[in-house]
Amino acid sequence: MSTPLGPLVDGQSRLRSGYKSLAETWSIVKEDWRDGRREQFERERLLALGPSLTRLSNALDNLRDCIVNADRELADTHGDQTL
Amino acid sequence: MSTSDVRSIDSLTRLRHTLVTLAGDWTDCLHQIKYASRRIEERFSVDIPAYWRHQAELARRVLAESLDNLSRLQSVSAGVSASATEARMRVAKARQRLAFCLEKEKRSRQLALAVQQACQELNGPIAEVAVHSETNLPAAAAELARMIDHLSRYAEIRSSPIDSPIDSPAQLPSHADESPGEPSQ
Repeated sequence: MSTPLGPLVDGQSRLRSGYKSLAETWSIVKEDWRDGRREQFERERLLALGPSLTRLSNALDNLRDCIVNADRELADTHGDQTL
Repeated sequence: MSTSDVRSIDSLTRLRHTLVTLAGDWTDCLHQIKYASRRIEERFSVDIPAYWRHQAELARRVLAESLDNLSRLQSVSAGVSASATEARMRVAKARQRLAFCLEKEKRSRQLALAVQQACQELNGPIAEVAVHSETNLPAAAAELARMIDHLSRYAEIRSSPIDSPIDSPAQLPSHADESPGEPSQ
């Protein structure tokens, strides 16, 4: 009767993994690009990504908790039927 | 006048590639999450309440049958036989199952609303990340592509190897309001 959470967990994991990959690449680029334009690029193009991702991640965590709780409360513990 | 201090065009190229890949991956992930959340919402608002309605209906039928059976046994043996005792136990069990199913059916409607709200709370953050994946990241990649192009052309003009380190931070002069690395004329 449990709700499949795979697609949500997988999506969240891929979002984080992509961001981590960008952070790693960016830390290397910073060594090779050291002018004011880089700071502007970081400020205008990259800085907002992390907070946006965190907000989505928190909302996904909240949904997952809600589903786990609902599944537990609605489990058919009397019968042997499954949904 | 401003100067560009870019020591490796390859680094910028890798960054651009990462941004393009990230934009595509995030767009896919968001579609996947939106689809999954729609399916979850449907499961809790339709499938699970329907399951418990059906179970309650089955439990009603079992209760009616067990009451009929008990009634028949009581009419022939004054309700004191072993089979009548067993029939009463079946009636009690059927009542218990029906109450359980009705409670779950009611609770499933309440929890469907909670899940629906949690799904809807994804919408804002999803839209925010979608702006990044569909607009900001491609724009960042395009900005880098222009930079790479300017820097490559400048390196060619200087007849330097494109990816050789540039020792002086002031080697790639540019106008402040133009793309970085724009060679000064």
